[in-house]
Amino acid sequence: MLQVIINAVLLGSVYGVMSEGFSLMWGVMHILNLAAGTLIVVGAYLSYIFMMLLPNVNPYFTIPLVFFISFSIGVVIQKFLYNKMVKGGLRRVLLLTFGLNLVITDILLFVFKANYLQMNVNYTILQFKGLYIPSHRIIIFVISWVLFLLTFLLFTKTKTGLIIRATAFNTEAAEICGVKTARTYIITTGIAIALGGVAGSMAGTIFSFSPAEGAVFLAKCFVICVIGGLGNVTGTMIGGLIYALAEGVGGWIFGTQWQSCIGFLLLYIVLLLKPEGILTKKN
Amino acid sequence: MILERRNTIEKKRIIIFLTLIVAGFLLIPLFERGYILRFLTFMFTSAIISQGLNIIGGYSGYIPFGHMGFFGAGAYIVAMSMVNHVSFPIALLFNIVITIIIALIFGYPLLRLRGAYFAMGTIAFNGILKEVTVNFTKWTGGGYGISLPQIPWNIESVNTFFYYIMLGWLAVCTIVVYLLAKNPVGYALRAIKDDENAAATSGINTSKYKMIAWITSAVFISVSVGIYAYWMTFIDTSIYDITPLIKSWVMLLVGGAGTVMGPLLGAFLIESLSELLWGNIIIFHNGFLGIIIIITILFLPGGIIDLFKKQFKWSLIREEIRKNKI
Repeated sequence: MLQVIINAVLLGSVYGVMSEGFSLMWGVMHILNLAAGTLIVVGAYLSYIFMMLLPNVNPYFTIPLVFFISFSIGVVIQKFLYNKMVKGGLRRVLLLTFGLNLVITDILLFVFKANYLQMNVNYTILQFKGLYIPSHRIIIFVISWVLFLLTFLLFTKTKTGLIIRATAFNTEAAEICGVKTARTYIITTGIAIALGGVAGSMAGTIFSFSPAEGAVFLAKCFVICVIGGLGNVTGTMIGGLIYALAEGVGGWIFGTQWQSCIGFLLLYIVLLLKPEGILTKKN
Repeated sequence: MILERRNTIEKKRIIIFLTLIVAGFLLIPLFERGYILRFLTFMFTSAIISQGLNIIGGYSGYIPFGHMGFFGAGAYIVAMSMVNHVSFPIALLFNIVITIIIALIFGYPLLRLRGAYFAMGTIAFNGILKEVTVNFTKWTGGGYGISLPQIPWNIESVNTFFYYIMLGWLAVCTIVVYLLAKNPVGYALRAIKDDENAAATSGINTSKYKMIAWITSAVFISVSVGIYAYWMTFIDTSIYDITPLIKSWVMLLVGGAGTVMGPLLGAFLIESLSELLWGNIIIFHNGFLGIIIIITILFLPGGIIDLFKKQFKWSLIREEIRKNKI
């Protein structure tokens, strides 16, 4: 049982970072980025490419590269696509992101040929302390929380963070104060996709992935964001933890074939009882 | 909706036009066999699903991404009944009753959610139904699927039989949508789509009407998929796959959400495109649909049927874009 909990805690960190991007885009721009899941998988594929191209480099050093590339992808998407429709209403944006998701998934399918799942091979040194803890999961745990800390500091201490929060809080007031909304949104999406991409490359060391896996990640993202509160940086991270625990413990009690169902049930229950998120304060 | 704002001569022309088309479809089985019939029957299935989505998405403005749950419900209920030697019409009746029950159970909590939460809530609904189907192997055949009894006629008669049944159900659905649109229910739904709070304040019982829309769309879809299951004589959990739903969404959007004829037009266009273009190209199927969705949303949010409306102008498209971007 303790093994299950420890696994969940380690995994929950990646889940948290993965959902941060999604949560950010929703909180700031009210865009439910259905392409988020696929973009996470893109991160995994990117780090896979780097692993193939640069076999002598430690995979963890390529993470900043993945960050920058994902950031650029996010910028491009927001600037040329999402910004055209942000004011159009939720329905349109939802379907737009949906369409984008389809396109990206198919591009991935096309480029990486067959649909089989690839495991991102890595340093799996098992450490025994009465429990089995693969070393790469600990490294990922550390990286995730560092990323979270950086994001948190970005939003609370820096001017960019302040601008983003101001725009999220009241777009018009921010514009009056001289904030360029379009540019802010672009930066926000860049950060969001970058976080997702890095999470993806980390998740790639744990899970096997394929172009279609994006949907699975998206579902998890959403559950986690709803639990943690959309737009809430800390809440999402903790939501990731809660989700991983629910999955792990639930799977342990009921059997692993029910794992996804438990995830969905959790989502359902949270949506019914407290859609704003367990961890947000009601405005 | 096409019939409003036109004078009587135009109305008569439109009615004649439609009657000719319907007669045409009724007579096709006399001339064509095999491939074209199957193609059209499949098109009708997608059109019915689009109509179902139309009611809840187009008219009420609630976008469900998880309606595949009803695909599964429809297919499996019919399959399980028929495997137990229930006749087809009665299986369909079971289907309708059970679908209404499922829709009520899940609809009540789901419809309390708005917008994005609703969309994701329906995905959860689908996920739950799918997992339940997969895991209760004793009844549902789990991953192995269920084989339905085959009709002991020759192939051509079977094709024709299903062609007419699907066409019939499509006609029923379209007529229901048409009546709904003209009815106070339709007005209520459109009010809900525009601004739910305002509608509720004006005294419209939003929960009741949303539930009506939800149940109606559920029944449309599950019956059509039930027929489809019998036609295919085999179903498995791939019925919970989102791809057919995507296609129906594209048909709805391209054709025109919130109109009576929109889904039909969309179904026809997309299905034909699908057959003509992708007979050879198997890859990039979904991606192409995605591109169509993006282009439609950006430029033609009302769907192609907008082009037929009287008040359409090309400059309106440019205005729409300018209005919506930052």
